[in-house]
Amino acid sequence: MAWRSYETRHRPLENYHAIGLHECDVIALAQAMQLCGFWKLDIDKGLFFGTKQISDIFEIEHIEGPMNIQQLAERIHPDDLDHVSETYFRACSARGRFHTIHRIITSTGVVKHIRSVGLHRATDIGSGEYRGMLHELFPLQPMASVVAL
Amino acid sequence: MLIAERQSLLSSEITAMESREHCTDVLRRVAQSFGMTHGSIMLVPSPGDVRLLPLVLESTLPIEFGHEFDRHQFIRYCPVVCKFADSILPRTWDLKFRSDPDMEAEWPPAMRDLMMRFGLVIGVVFVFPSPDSKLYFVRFDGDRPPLAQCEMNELSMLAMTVFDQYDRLRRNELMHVDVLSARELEVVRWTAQGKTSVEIGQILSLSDHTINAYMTTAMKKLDCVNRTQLVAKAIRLKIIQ
Repeated sequence: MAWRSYETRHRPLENYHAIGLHECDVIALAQAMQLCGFWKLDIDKGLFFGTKQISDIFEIEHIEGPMNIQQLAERIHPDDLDHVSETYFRACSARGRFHTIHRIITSTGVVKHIRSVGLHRATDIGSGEYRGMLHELFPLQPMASVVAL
Repeated sequence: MLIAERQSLLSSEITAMESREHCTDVLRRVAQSFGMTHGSIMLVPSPGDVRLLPLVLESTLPIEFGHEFDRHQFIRYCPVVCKFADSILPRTWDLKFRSDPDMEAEWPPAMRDLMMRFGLVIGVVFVFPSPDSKLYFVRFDGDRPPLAQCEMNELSMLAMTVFDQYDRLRRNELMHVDVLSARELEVVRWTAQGKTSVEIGQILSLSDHTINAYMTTAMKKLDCVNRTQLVAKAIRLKIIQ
């Protein structure tokens, strides 16, 4: 069921400063109700860096420095692996934006859906890098819940 | 546009397809040339299959259609799939039942409703065998009057050319698996594990220049232009798993 898209909807950056919010608020909000991590991919070197939340989503041990892509791939649902690897392969040629939704299998065998969004950023030399966000995706069902702080 | 002219234009576009990545563009172009909107290549479902999406190799169909189709497991009731059990002739359908009113009874109303909502009013599917002894569908969908016989003939030839080219590229990719030397494989595997050239050099007791040379050869062999593509392709081809 893996899915990818390169079609983008251009929207102006929300002027959250005007209402007294800051960048850290935006990140805190993104992470408030679900696991959400950030990643960076050095295209020429093939090195993938992720925040601890990325390791938490994939349920692997977090280490400083580049992540083990092979270990991440082992967590991806076998039916989705081709699609995901092809998405990153194509993204490295397209150098634009993409997002992909696919499944991963947790250490307990639970299947969960995640979404990865990437945005290309040029660097002074070489092919540049992708900067991205990855988060768990819940079934889009109406729900209301309050978490006590 | 004359038939011969259209066929000639599309055929040269298809044969110029150098990677599987371009296949969806070509499928879309062929579909649009016949007044349709979508093209797909997929494995022929076996009787035990209940979902469509895992069988799809390339498609321009919206993913939402696939999800909804699979949520109802429509593949089990699809009249087109059932018919291929007896014959390999191309199948067409028209959900407005203009030429064959008897067809209405074959289509589950919910499935018809779903396809109509996505503008998949008419369609045609061709079946082709691959040398790997699997069968594949090439399918086109859209909203236009039913295809005339001469259009079917032309589309059949084009679908065969698309499939042949796509399948050749797919099999070529698989053949590359044996092409990498043991050292190149080792270097790709360490890269996938997050190691830099210097680190790999230390692990293998080689200079980072030698590692870079192995990497460059591996990239050339797998038709990649950077290490990310190399790792992605190695994973897709299951070279390093």
